[in-house]
Amino acid sequence: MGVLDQYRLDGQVAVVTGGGRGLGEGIAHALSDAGAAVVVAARRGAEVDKVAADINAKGGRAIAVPTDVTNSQALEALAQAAVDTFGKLTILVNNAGGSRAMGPLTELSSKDWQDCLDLNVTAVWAATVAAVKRMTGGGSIVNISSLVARGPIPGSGHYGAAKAAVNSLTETFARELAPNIRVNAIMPGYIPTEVMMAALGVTDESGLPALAKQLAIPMGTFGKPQDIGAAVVYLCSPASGWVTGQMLPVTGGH
Amino acid sequence: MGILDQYRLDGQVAVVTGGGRGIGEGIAHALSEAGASVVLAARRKDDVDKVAADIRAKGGKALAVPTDVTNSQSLDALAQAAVDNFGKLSIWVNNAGGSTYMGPLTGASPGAWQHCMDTNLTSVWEGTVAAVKRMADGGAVINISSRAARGPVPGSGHYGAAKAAVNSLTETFARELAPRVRVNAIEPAWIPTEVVMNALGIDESGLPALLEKAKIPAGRFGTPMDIGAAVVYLSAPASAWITGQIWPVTGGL
Repeated sequence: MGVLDQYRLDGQVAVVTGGGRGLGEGIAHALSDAGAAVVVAARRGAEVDKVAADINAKGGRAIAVPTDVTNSQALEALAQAAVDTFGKLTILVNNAGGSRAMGPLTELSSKDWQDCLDLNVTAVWAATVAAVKRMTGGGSIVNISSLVARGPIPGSGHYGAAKAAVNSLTETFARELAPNIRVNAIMPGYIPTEVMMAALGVTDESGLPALAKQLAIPMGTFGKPQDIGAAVVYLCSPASGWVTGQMLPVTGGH
Repeated sequence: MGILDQYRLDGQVAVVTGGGRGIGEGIAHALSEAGASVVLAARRKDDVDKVAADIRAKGGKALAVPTDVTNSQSLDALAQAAVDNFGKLSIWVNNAGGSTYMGPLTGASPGAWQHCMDTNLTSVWEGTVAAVKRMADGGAVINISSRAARGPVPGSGHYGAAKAAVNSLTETFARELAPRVRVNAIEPAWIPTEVVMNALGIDESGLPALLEKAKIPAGRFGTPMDIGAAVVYLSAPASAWITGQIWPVTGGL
């Protein structure tokens, strides 16, 4: 097998949570372009329908499964939908996440704290449990963490703590599931998706150049969903067959 | 550009130090298969000649340049050879390294210490300096570090210290050279090349016992191609937004 064939995902079946837009949409397209069938999951039915339709229109294979990742039964149904539709499940990308609340840790409500943990940590644990029991022939799991897991970000301490917990889960799952299932995480830096722009208080794209300068990204540009998609394809493919339990920063140099 | 095209290296020109055997040989083959022209550098002429011939026999483009990486003039000549033969230089893999001494830090002679620093660390600094002055249109530098950089390694403390310094160089070069040239490192763990087996005083019959002792979660040793596939990714457009990172390729360790 030539090295370039090692990045291919022909015959594989992937689930992407939070796949309706932003990073998840980019990841779903990347997995499809590399040869995988893709199950696109997110809360909003219209969004996952559109992403699946776009992939099918390009000649890929995709289905949309509206899913609330904070509901473990919904996650079970999602994993089963992959098996029922495409015959198996070999890749899970835990990409759903985020936080509506922002503010100092001392001012956070208990509900905002719990919502953040449910969406960013518990969902990763429950989805991984649901997926691996169906990965009978082996598989690969990629958790989309955040650079926030590595350092203090005032105003997002709850989100940072949740993502740090995701990194820890990545390491433990990797050990417990080796050697048949690999588990890795990607820590994206600043990628101006709609959700991140809202979190940073940027209302439209005209504010981005000033923001890029303020953030001092060494590569001088923001990242794109495709940058994360290419990292996901590497981590799901035979090219990374000896990589597990790692957190890989994709950050433009941060 | 489809995603799979983003891993291609067509039209690129790569230098691989320590390219005569082991991990470097695997990296050279991987870069060639991905489309790059490859310049093989190592001390032993026979070794690099053979790898270059193997690559050419498969239809790739390769050149052997016997090189002593502890000699900065030799490194400069190596970088220039890439430009003279293939018209440019866009990828530089600092893979040469290793240590002839094994033993406690208190028992290392000043000569053994200095030799380890020259081979593993100063060569990376000088090699990168020689390379980037010829990467006017951008490029990627990949340093082959080691998992030994991350934790205590009794018997190889000098080697661990040198590789930890390579990680630090990776981070600083990445900042200083961004956005023109990207600089990343790979930390391999147990890959039983000939050099490693010689250092451990074992042959292939000793590998099963070593595998048990190493407790690698993936349940197997790594191969040079595992590192080669990581090098291709970190050299290719697929990783255009990644710089200053240290990537472990360790089977889960």
